[in-house]
Amino acid sequence: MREGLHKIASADDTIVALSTPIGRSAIGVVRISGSLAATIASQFFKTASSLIHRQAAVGRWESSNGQIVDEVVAIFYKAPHSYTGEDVLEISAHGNPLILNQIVCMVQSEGARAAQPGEFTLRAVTHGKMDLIQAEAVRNFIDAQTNGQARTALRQIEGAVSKRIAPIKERIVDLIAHLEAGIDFSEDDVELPDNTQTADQVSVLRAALEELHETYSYGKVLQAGVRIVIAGRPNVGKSSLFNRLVAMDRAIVTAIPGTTRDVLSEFADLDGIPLRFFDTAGVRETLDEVEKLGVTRTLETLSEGDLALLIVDGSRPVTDEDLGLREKLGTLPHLLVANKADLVVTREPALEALKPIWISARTGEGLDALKESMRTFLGSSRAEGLSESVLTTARQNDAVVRAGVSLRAGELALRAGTPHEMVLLDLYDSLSALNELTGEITTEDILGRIFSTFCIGK
Amino acid sequence: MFDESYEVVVVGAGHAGCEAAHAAARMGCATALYTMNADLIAQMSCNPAVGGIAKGHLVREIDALGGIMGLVADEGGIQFRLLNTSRGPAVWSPRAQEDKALYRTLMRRTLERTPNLFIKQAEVTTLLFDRRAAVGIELQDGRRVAARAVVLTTGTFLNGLIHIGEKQFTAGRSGEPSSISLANCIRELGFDCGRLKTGTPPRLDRRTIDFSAFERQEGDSRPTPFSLRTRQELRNTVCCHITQTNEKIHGIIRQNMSRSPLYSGQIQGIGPRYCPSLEDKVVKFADRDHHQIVLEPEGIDTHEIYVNGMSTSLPIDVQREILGRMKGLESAQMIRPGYAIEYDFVQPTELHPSLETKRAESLFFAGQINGTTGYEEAAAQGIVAGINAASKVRGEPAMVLNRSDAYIGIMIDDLVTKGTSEPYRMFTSRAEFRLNLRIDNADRRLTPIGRKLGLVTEEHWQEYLRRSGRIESMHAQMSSIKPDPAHAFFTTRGLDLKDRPTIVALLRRPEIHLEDLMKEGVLDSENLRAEDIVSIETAIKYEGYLKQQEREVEKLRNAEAKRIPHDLDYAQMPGLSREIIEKLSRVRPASIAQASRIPGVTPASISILLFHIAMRRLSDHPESVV
Repeated sequence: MREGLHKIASADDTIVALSTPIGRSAIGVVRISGSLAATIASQFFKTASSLIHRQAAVGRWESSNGQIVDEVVAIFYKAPHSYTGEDVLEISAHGNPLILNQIVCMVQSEGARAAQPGEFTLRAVTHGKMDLIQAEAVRNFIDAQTNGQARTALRQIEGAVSKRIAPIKERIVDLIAHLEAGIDFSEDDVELPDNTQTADQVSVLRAALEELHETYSYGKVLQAGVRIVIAGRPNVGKSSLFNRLVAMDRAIVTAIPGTTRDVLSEFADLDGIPLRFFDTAGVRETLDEVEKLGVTRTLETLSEGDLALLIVDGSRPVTDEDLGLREKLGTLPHLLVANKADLVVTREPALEALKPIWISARTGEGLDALKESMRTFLGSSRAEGLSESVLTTARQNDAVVRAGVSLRAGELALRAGTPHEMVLLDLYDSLSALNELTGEITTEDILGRIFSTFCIGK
Repeated sequence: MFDESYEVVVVGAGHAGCEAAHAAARMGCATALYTMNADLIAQMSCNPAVGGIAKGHLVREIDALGGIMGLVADEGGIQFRLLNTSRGPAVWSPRAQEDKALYRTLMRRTLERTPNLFIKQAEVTTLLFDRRAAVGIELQDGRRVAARAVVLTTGTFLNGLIHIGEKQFTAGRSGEPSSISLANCIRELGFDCGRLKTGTPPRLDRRTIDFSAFERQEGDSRPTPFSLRTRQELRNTVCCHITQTNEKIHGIIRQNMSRSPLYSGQIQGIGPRYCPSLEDKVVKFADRDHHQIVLEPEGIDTHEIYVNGMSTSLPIDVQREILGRMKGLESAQMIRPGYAIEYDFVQPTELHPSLETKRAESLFFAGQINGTTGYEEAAAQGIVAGINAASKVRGEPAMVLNRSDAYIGIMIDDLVTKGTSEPYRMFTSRAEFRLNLRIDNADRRLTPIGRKLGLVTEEHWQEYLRRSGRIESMHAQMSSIKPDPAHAFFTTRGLDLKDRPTIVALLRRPEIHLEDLMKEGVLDSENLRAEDIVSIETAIKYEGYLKQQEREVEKLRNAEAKRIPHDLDYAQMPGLSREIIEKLSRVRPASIAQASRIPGVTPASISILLFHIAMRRLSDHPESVV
């Protein structure tokens, strides 16, 4: 078992991190430092100009299949004339957490790893970039190390995630202990594990890691906020509901259909889950160019949403346009909301058949029921993600993926009849990756497991 | 003031002391080896065997550095087995049954033939210091002996206390006095001492055993030597016998548990989990209805038989009762009873990786005093302490082997970084770079180091160069030769060589072995030795895994290269918790890599450490600011 090395922030890797706080902001900055910075830039950053030391370049950040992720400004600093003393690329993108997260992930996919708190500063010092008088930086660094990391560790690493990882690690330690006992104590009457059975057990663990990895797609959303799009025909009260839900007079509300032409968004909080509500332009056939543009934006926003609140006017009969919009939602889950309940005397049977949630954005009637429905939606359809643990950071996801890849290699080696001391390399690799996330397993723990499982010793 | 004077004084002539004295003397230092009984040099106080899994690796490494245990064990061996051959070559390990008396004789002869080495019989009672450096020893008769470096290898003698049932008495080993004044001297110096326990089984009279009741365990038909320098033919002249305990025996043990000093509270010291006494096995693994017992002869010229697996401190009458219930041992006569022994050890975190103590300069510890168990573990520390004592005298830097260099490096790093709470034994699972640390490449890893130190003789060195030459020329041949596909070797096996692979490419296939290729005439190789074949084939067959491991070794080297200044004051370092300051201050790690291995040291504290070292370098060399 390799011990300790994972505790050392390697100075040779290229590191990446979001340098601005997570959350809503105009601009978010992703910073890359290390020898791979320029290569990574050339991979994703498409610009007419070229990257020149200390000059801002405007361009598109594109995925490998040419899809645009965002319009960004990139500044390249050539080593040693950068903050860290290494090649540095700073990417200023729009402050959307999802986009920023995606950029970080793309950079990681090209070989960079997630920076630890304070690591950029550490590198600056290592490369002699820090003036000794800048003692302030030392304190910042230490704060980042102790408070920042401790906080993160408490909230996530030592929290719910480790509860899910711990049993998987336990099983890996068991498997390792069995294989090791077969090597170190082959003279001691120890029963040898069967290759196929062991491979099957490894396979089960890999599946468990994969399941955990799958929670990351939701975890990302959870971290960045669940995107809830309010949609509907014009003048059904979308903006009123938006204001109710975010509890401030953000959207301009008028009786004139088509008032909202751009997409507004605001954060709100439901039981601690960040929700991001989007108020969109009403969808209808229109000749107004500006309004048409608004409708297009609405449809775009819907395509990036996690949940739609489809609003209909409960005081009027359901229209084909209402139903048509429902079709347009496609696979996006939605809740049907009938607004203006305060104006309704008798509920129309055609609408009632669709089982909408009745509310009044004006009086606030039915809002609790709506929240309850959203809660149910978030809780049930998202892999019970709220009660159970999900991976929320790229770093966690990265470690889980690496552990899974190593287990896969170990499984194949077992099935091929490879000597166990080599199979163990892969199993230890997976354990090391998980060691980065939860309480460390050491050689001593593995020996302890062997001695408590087998009667060793002549 | 001093009656005599030497450059290096070694106290204790067990397995650690012999290697230490030999190494220091070979390196040119006038060396005195002190023992309480010159007739019991290199006594094997427990089992009559050398080697075993991981331990055999240690013996090969000692030999590659220029040590003597391997040569002596080969010559004194009476049955040889290479263990773990059903697995890959990285975990193959030699083991041999030894003739104990012959082993003592051969070791003493080897020491007596070593220039600069003088054997002395006397009890050492006190260490002498000038300020914080050891400058000699005082003997029981009052004589004072000057030394520029002192190596302590006291084994189980420090405050040794033997337990047999309810009886207990002070002793260093069965029938030998313990060292009480020296133990007090070490405690008074302030060393962090603890108590450990170990045990040994009863010995029986061969004539009273019915061997027909047991399964035979034979030696290998082609014995593997410990030392690559051994040229004489190795022969198996004895056989071991396997049997097992039964429920009746377990019942006897349970009934008498209150009379076991282990369970009555009489023994305070901590015993090894991997070498439990029989009563321990019965209690901890109550669901097992049998435990394995191996009968091993103690030598050729003796009837004494060692009962491996029956280590016990139960009273003699209970030991007799247990033996009486074992098939084939019903009428066995006991020559000596089993016993447990408690002894003092010093927490090895008191040591530098050179095995010099941090508390006193020029004072080195090796063997059981450092909390280890096993002849091989002791000898491996002995050679390191001897080398570094001599280097100290010569004013040269200490030799420290890395975890990626040798099992010896792993053991010492584990000890000085983590300390120990039970007798430490080597296992291959402790080696994170196990695939690289094989018995077949111990010479490539270590003989050049031993040569540079002056420990490897000219003859040994020439032998090494010849073997390296053989391997290299064979390698060159194999990467160019493309064997004839029509050769019987391939046609009889139904192998199709359409793509005309080289021998190297062929050897990558798991089912093809170099030895077979040579035996069946595909390849000519008259001068290759068995150990050469293993080296060549392993490097090819497991190239992928070896490369994977090499990348990890590189990471370790980088982290080892980040040195931590000796005088770093952790208490003055903001951001470190009191607990971590305490851990770091006790171990005083030499590198970032070592610091990271200290249990409980967090990634955040490692970053803080890196940060401070970088800041400190800045303040020392402001011109390095870019």
